[in-house]
Amino acid sequence: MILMEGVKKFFGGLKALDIDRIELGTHHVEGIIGPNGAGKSTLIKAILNVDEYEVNSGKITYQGKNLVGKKTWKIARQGIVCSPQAIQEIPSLTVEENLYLAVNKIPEKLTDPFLRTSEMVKKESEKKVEEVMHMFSLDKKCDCAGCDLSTPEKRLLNTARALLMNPKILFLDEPLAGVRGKEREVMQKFIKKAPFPIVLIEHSPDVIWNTCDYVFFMMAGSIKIHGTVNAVRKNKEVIKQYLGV
Amino acid sequence: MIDYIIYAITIACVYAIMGIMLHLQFGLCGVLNFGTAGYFAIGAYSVAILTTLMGYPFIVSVLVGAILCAIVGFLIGKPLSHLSPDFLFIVTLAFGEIVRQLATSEAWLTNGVAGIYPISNPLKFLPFYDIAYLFIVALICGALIFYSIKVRASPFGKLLIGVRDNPLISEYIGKDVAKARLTIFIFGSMIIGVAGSLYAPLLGMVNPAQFGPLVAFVAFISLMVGGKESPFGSILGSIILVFGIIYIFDFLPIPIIQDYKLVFSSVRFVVFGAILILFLRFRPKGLLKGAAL
Amino acid sequence: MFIESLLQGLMVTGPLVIGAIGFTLVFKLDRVMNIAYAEFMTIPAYFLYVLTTSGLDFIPAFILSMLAMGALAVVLYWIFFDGLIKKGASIVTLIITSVGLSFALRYFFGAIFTGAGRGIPVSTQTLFTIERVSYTDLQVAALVCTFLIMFATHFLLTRTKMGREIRAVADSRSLCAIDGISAPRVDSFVWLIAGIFGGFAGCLLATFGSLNPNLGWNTIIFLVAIVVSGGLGNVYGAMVMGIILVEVQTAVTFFTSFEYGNIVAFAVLILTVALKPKGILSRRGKA
Repeated sequence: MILMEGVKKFFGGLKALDIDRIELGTHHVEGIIGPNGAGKSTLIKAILNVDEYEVNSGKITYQGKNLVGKKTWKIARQGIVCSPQAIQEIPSLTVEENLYLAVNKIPEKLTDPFLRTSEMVKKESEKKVEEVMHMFSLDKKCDCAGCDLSTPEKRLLNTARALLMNPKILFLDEPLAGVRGKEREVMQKFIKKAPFPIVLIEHSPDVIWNTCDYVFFMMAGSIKIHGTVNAVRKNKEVIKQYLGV
Repeated sequence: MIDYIIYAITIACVYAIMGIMLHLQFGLCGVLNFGTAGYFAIGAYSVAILTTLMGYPFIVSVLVGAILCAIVGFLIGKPLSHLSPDFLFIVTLAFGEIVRQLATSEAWLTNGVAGIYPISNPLKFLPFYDIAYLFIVALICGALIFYSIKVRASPFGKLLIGVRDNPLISEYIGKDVAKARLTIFIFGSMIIGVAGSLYAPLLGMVNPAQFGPLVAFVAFISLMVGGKESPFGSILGSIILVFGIIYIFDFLPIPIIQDYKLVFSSVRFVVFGAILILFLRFRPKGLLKGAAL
Repeated sequence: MFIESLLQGLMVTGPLVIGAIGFTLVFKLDRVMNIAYAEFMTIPAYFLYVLTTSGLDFIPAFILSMLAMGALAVVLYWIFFDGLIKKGASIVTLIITSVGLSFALRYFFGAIFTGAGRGIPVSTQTLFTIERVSYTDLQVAALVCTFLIMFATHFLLTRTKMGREIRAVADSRSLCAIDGISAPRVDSFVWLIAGIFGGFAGCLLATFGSLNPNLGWNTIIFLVAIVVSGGLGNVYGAMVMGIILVEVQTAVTFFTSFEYGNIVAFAVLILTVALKPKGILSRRGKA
C-alpha cells in the first residue's frame, strides 16, 4: 500500500533514514522492531511528512499517489492514520470532545454556531463514537478532561481516536507502552481484529511474535531484515548479532 | 456626569469587542496577535477619512475598514499561519507599529500627527443619539459574546482549542491547522477594525498617537488578568485595570495622587507590567479560568 | 554624496547591528524572543546620560554604561526567565513575560526621566569631510568598534571554549550537563554579552540622535527585520542582513524620508516570513 523507494533523511550530518525499498500495509499486522534510535518513529513521521521530517530524497507513494511534500493533515485525510508515541491528547477537551473532533469529516467553519453543525456531527457519528468508547472502556470517563486520564487510558484514547478516522492503514507507535492488564488485552484484541492493515512499532518482542504476521527489523535508519514472523523469529540469532548481545 | 457614564460604558463596549476577538484568537486558538492597534487604526482612520473628510456614509466606511482589515489580515496571516508563535508575535507587533508610522508619514491621507477631527457621531440627527449609539455598540458587543459562547461548544471551537493545545496531533487527525489559525486571525482582524470604526466618533478625532503599543498591551493584560479562556475575561480585566485603576485615579480627589499625576500615568504601566508577569507565573488562566462556561 | 552618506549611515546606525547580534545570541541560546531587548538599549543610554551629565568623561561613562547593562541583563535573566525556562515554559509564556518586562522597564524610566528628548553631552571633532559630508571622530570610532565587535563575536563563537559551550547548550541543554558544561554559566555569560551589546548600540544611538524612553522601542521594527531576515538565531545572518538593511535604510532615507526606511524594513520582514522564514540566506524554505 505504501511504497518507499530510495528514501534518505538527514538531520544535519546525521543519517536518520536510508531505505532501499519497502512496501507497508500488504499484510494484516506488520511490526517494526529495532533498538532505540533505529529510526522506527522517524520512518513513520517521514511518511506523514511531519514538520522537519520531510525526506531529503526518494519516493513515498500511497497506491501510486505521491506523499512526499504533502501536508500532514492531507495525508491523514487520505486514510493514512498514525497514533504517535508521545502521549498526545488535547488536554482542554473532554474525552468525548477529543473523539468527536477526530471523527468529524465535515469541515469546521467559523459559521458553525449558526449552522447547527454540532448537531449534524453528533447525528452522523454518535453511534460510531459510542461504539469505540465502549470498545476501549473509555465511556465511563467520557466527560473527563483529556488531562485527567491515566497514562494507559491516554494511550487508549490515542488509539480510539485513530480508529475513528476510518483509516485505510494505521500506524501505531508503541501503543502498549505502560499499558497493562485489561487495557492491554483490549488493545491486542483490537489490533488482531482490525479490518485494515496495521503497522506496529513495539519494543516488547512477545507482542510482536504474538500479534504480527510480518516483521521489519530496523537499525541505524535502514531495514536490515524483513520477513514473516516465523522467518524472522528463526533469524533471532542474526538479530542478536546485530544488537551485539 | 450622566453623559460621561454613557461615554465610558460605550468605550468599554468597544474595548470589550476587541477583547472578545483576542479571546477567540489567543484564548481559544493560541494565536498571539500583538498588532491589534494596527487593525483598530485602520477601522478608525477609515471612518475619519471616508466619512469626515470625504462624506461617505458611516456604514460604508465601516465596511471598507473591515474589508481592508480582512485583506491585510490575510496578507500577513497567510505566511504566519504555518509558523511558530514567535513569528506571529513579532510580525504582528511590527505591523502595529508600521500602521502608526504610516499614519504619521502619509499626511496627505491622514493629516499626519495632527490627526483628523471632528468626527461626528453618525446618529447625531437623533435625539439622545449618545444613548442610541451606546445601544448599537452594546448590541454588537452582546452578539459577539453570544457568538463566543456558542463557538466554544461548536466543532469549530473545538478545532481551535485542539490547534492551541496540540497542533501536531490536530494535523495527525486530519485538521488543517494553518487554515484554522488564518480564519480566526482574519475574522478577529476584521472585527477589531469594526471596533476601531465605532471608536472614532466617540473620541471625536483620530491621530497616530492613539494607536501605539499601549493599545495591544492594555488589551492583552486585560485579557490575561480577566481570563483568556472566557469571553468575559477581557471585560472583567478591563473593568479592574482600565476602569478600576486608570479612571479612578484620574478622579480621586486625594491631593498626593493629583500632584504626582504625571509620574503616576507612567508608573501605572510599570505596575501593569508587573501584574502581567505575576499573573502569567501564578495564574496563567486569569481570574475567570474559563469558568464562565 | 550618496556613497558618503552610505558610509555615514553605517557609522551612525551600524551600532544597531550589534544590538541585533545581542538579541540573536539570546534567542539562539534560550529560544527567548526577548522583546525587552529594546530596553536593553534604552536603559544603558540613560546610564550614559546620568554619568556624563554628572561630569564623567564620555569614554569611561560609555564603558561603565555597557557593563552596567550587562550586569542588569544577567540579573533580569535570573529573576524573570531562568525559572520559566527550567520549567519548560511555552514560547508564548516567555514572549508575554518579555512584553510585561519591556513595558514595565520602559515606563519606569519614563516616570523618572519623563518623555522629553535629551542629548548626550559629548564633544566631537570633525575628522574629515568628503563631498560635503563631515565625519566626526566619534562616528569613525563607532564604525571601527562595530566591526571589531563583530570580529570578536566570530572569534568567540568559533575559537573559544565558551563559544563551543554556547553552541552546545543552544543545541541541547540537557545533554550538556553530561558533558560537564555548566548551562547556568553559559546563560549568564550570553546575557551579559547581550546586555553589553545592547549598551553599545543604545549609547551610540542616543549619542548620535537623542534620548527618550522610546529609544529602543523605536528601532524595534528594524531590529526585528534584521534578526528575522538573517534567520532567527543565526548570528552571522544578523551581521550580514544588519549591514545590508542599515545601508538600505540609509539609501532610502537619502532619496525619500526617514519613515520609509522603516517601511522598507517591514516589507523585507514580511517577504522573508512569506518566502524564506528561515532567513534570506538559508537554504530551505520551510521554517
